[in-house]
Amino acid sequence: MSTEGMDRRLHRYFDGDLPAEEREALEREIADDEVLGRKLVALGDVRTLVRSTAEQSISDADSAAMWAAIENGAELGTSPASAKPATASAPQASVANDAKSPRPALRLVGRPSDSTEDRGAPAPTAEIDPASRPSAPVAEDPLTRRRRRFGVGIGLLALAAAVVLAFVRPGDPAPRDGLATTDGTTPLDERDGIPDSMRTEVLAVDFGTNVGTIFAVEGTAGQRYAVVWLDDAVKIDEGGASPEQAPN
Amino acid sequence: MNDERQTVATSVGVSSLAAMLVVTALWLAGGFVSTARAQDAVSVHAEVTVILAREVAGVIDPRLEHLAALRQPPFNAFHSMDVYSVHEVTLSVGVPSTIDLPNGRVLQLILEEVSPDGRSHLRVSINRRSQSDYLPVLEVAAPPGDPFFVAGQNFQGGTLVIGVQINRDEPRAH
Repeated sequence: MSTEGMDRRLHRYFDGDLPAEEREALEREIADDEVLGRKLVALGDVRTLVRSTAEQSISDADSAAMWAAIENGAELGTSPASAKPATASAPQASVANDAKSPRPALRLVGRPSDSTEDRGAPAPTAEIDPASRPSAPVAEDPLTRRRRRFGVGIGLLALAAAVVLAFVRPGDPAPRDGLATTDGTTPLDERDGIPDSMRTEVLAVDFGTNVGTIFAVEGTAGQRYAVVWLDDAVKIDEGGASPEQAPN
Repeated sequence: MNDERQTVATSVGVSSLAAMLVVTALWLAGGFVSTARAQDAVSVHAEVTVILAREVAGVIDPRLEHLAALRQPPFNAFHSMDVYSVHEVTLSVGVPSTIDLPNGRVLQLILEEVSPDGRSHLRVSINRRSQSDYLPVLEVAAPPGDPFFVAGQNFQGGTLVIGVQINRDEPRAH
């Protein structure tokens, strides 16, 4: 294997990316090859050096100024990445700002296992401590905006419903459908231009065991008077030999 | 932060909805209570006319001449009409008023309410006492001045026609 190929394997071993079989084979080679052992030690030294340097840079960074730049970028509708963060030009001022500001300090985060740092020389990543996230406004993602609008919309809908109910009295009668008749007389609800409030309306009827019908008769001025007619099947008339029927 | 904004927005929506529902419920409850109180104190006057109609030739009672409806089919099949009795009753909401009919049955009237359009909602029944043999339930919305009729009962070879008319005077609040 070429030196370049071996170095690549060594990096992958250092990063913990090698399969178990290759890792065991390489460990045997490292044990037998002093150069490979020194290269592995050198990779560890480089990681330690980069990490300490990154930590020093983070500790010197003016987090308050960076947050201000991010907020300015958000307010201008630009991405936070386009905002130029302030550098560690005034560490003392930064410390003072951090002391009176809720904005968190930056810290260095790494992969879960320090023994397998990313590619040997990982670029330190600045991350916000979740426990101390500030409440300063940032640009919203569309999903959040839609959800917020949905919540506000529900509230407005409820308000509109309350306003509509305020103008509709709960006791107002609902419009009713016409009643069918079983004979040739005029149905009560036949629309003839007379408003419902001017006509008699049969809302419900229970004829019991009798046969009955509902119809309307017309007055002199076109009024329609409701008539409920029931055939009387019970003989309570002393003079009646049989129930009389409605006249035709 | 987005989660917090989403939570706040959702809370605003839910809170607004809950507030509106509470306000609406209170308004409805108040409306029903006030309406119920107002209806409890309302009464109307009604006139109940009991007519004995026969198909045999005879005379039409002069007191019925103003009722052109009784000259329309099917009433025009009756060639004689006698006013058997006239009853003036005061109907109060929820209070039954009864009238004894000549055939032994009882006419019962209950004023359910006076609707905003001015019509009186009546619950009517005609039965023998402690029985339900003829007309168990009839619910009518009747405007003042317009009679409605319940007809068909047999009596003395004729047919009883009962006219109920709510008087035109304004419903009275006690």
